[in-house]
Amino acid sequence: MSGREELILAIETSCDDTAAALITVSGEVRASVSASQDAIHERYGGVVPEVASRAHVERASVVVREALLEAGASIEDVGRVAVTVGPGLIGALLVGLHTAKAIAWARRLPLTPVNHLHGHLAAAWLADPDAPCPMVTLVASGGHTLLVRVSDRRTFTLLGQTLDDAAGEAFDKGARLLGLGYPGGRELDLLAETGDAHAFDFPIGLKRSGSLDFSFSGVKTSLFYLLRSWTAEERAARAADVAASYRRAVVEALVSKLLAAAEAEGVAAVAIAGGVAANSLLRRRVEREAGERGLHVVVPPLRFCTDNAAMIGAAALTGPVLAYPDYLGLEASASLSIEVTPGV
Amino acid sequence: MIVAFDTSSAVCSVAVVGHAGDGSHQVLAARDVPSQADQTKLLLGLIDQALTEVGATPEQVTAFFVGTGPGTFTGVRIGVATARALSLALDVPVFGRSSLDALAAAALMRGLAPGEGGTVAPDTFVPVVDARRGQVFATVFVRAHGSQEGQGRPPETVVGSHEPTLVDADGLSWVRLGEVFAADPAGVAESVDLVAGPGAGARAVYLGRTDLLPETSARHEPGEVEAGFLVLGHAVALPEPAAFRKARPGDPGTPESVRPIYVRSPDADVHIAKMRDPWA
Repeated sequence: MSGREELILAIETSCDDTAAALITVSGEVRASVSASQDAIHERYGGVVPEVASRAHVERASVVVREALLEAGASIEDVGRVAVTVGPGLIGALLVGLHTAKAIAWARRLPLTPVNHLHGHLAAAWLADPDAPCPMVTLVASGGHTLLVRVSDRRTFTLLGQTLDDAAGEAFDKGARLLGLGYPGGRELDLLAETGDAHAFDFPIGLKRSGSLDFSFSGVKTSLFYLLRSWTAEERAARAADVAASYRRAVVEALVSKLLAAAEAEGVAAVAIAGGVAANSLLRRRVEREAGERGLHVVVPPLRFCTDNAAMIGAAALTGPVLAYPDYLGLEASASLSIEVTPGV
Repeated sequence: MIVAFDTSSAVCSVAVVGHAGDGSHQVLAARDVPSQADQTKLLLGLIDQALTEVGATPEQVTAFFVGTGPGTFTGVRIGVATARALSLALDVPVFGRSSLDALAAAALMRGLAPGEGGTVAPDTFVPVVDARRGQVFATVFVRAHGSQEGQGRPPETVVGSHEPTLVDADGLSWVRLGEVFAADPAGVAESVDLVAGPGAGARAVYLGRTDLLPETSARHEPGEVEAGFLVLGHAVALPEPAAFRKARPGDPGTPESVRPIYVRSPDADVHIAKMRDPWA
């Protein structure tokens, strides 16, 4: 280790990506490896928890090895282990947690348990180390849709969240109704690029409520009834326009509430994170509209938006450091609020 | 020094096993703690305690053995994920063994093998664990009659090759026939007949969670999986460190060589039906 900066080994297995990363204590990502399970879950049309857990256990040691290889490091260079302990699929989380605890125990290293949602928030400073706080961050994925005030890099306040489906779930369900491939959100986004976004008016959930919460069940139901009234030929012929209009409604809710939250909180910066932050319309609109308001905008590169371990390492930089043997009994939690910092 | 553990059942079991130059093994420390679903909280703490009890550190461990099930899916994964990571972190070999093999080894090593009167070793062993959903997981061991000339000397067995041979203190050996199966308790004897021949089910000695089986005339030896027996009862030949370092992922002893025994496929059919046709 002489003369080399200490590395944090971060492990993330909360849903369907098995990921490991190495990040320096000063926040430089040396390696970030992710084994996507898309090909496995494609045949089911969604993530099957038991299938995901089985894939994680096959791959966890492999992604750790590959991360070390990519960084040109050995296990001796690791000075701390970080791991996602929730929220997520419990069986999936347990694979990463036990991998991390075992490595830390074997080498008598300290361990930092990380809230997966804090990882998404940390993607902002991975992408932009000078991102100013306070900021408001939209975290939108297949499992979460949250507006969060990030007062500093360890103080997070929930401002609003979805009351029913997550934004990514709305995209995936919409894609399934349209008969698109898997993962649905990406396919729907591609198809929407070719359609007329104003061909149909889908409802925008809680638009005039003044609250910072979201609702996506109405737009989904409305799509269901529209498509049900059509023949298969009609559905195929108008799929692009439907996709574009549907995407507009979901993204409108996300963007308008992000900007409203930023104004209400009086912050000078906004960020987006989570798998839905890969949506091209969301990225364009946030960059343009937040930029027009003079806000500092952080739109992280795709590799830090979808689930990854680098963001878990970044969140660990400001997280608690549990020394051996304090972490041996550490547990995972399927539901963990964004306001909870595990290990504190 | 070997560390063995099993989290596939309702007991979290850990053992530190010493191995002498003559190939013999001895349990130096053991922990068996009932754990309904909290292996997550228990496992590494128990490994830590057991190792501390014998005054050793992780660096002194020469190999890890893990019970790979069958059992609860989550429990099996906790054991396998931990074992793989320990091997990776310490660069020492890791071996997976069926938890059912451990039950059979325990019976043999404890001298339960001799039949009525203590003279005749039974032909057939059937270790049994809880498979939930009203079923049990079981497998069948039968006496290898041809190998008695080697009495007192266990046959050469390469660890990690899934060699299913078990050897008792007298050098008698048993071979696992067929794969692990899931069966309704009332149908286990019938399944044993299919594997080992007519009448074998009635003559077999049942081991492990025999409380789940119906009352029959067959002999039952109840017990839980104990980690030490993942090592004891098997001829253990650890690879030379130099050779192990050259092993490629998936070779015997590498983390990737250790794989869970699920028996059942994941319950994905429900998902397929629901996800495939949103108009159904």
